[in-house]
Amino acid sequence: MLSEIIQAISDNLKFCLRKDRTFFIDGCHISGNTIKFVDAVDGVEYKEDLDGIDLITFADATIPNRSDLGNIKSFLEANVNDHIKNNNIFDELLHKCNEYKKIFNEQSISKIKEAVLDHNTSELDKLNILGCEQVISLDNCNQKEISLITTLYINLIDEKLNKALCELDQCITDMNDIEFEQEANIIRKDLIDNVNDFKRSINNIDFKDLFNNWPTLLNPSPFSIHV
Amino acid sequence: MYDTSIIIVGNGEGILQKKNGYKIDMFNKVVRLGRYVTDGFEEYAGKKTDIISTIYWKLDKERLKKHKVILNVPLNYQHNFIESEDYISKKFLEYRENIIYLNKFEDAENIKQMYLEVMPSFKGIDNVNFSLGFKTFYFIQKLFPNRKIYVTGFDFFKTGWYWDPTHNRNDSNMHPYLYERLWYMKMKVKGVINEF
Repeated sequence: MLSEIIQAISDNLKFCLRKDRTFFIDGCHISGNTIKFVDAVDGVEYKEDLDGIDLITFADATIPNRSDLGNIKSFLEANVNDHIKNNNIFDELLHKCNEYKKIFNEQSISKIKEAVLDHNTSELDKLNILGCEQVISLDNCNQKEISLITTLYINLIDEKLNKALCELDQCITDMNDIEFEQEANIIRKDLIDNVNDFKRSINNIDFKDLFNNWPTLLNPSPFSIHV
Repeated sequence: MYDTSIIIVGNGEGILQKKNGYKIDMFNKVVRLGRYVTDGFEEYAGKKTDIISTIYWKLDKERLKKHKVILNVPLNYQHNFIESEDYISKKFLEYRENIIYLNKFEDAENIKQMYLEVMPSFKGIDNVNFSLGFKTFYFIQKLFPNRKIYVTGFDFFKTGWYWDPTHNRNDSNMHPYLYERLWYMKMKVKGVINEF
């Protein structure tokens, strides 16, 4: 039945397949119980058994039932608006995948497709802010990955600190007031002390909670967790 | 000396450095923030409260019965909240007259302008959420334009609360404390804010 459905809709509707991996289908050919297709995100040709595979579409009236299969032309004509909507959503998701593909390395494509299809891209965004080249599942990190993320977190804090100190210097110059300069230097010291204390204690933070933590005086945090 | 003056009492630990409690209580209007505590700290922080400036989810009904309240709603919640002002009417109807101000959409822009009147802009200024203390300067100036404003207990989260030093230690948030503190210093230098 699944092979018949895919054959019936594949010229008109865009869709995804998911088994142990996620695929954005760009042209397919079915032979028996096997589907051959090109994935639109990575451009690789795949051959998969249809047993246990999920067909994913993005609007109502996109999966014909048995009676629809007897007159597929009529099914397609009757539901054309749903199918336009479906294809637009597919294109949006594909565009998102391609944007993330520019940020992360080749080994991350599979995780990107999965996250985008599940509308669960907040981790990708966090990793992007950190400047991480590979997609790492933050809920399920090994020790090496934790170490990498922590290092990137510290680098980002240093970067933000340097920027804040430059702005502080500029402010002192603009104000040209000795009293203001004296107080601004206290702020500078407070800020540096806060950042150093934070960095010293970063390994005591539960990794799952890392992104909720940021040196107080260096807020606003780029991760915008709390208001 | 303090008859026509207002004092905004912040919640920073710095307030514990001076036993100014009785002086604070001599002000004509004493403004306190959020879930302030005075019990046990009267010697330092005073005990008189006339106005509470608070985020709406920290509004305490028992306190609303006895005090005037300035109610703040963060920008990212404001749409839902203002759309349903009946939230206040339903939950606090009995004491509605004690809510002397509920912030409005245009206040967010005006608060930003208050900052920009004396400070240069900074990257991301349109996306930050100015802290309750900072916003309170704006509300008090708006509600009491001719009063001299005194301030104590403000350190822009260099420390936690004086009754709970662990508050807001290295929490990630959207408050631009550094810029607020620079603004505050500049207002002090200009003599607009009088540190007490």
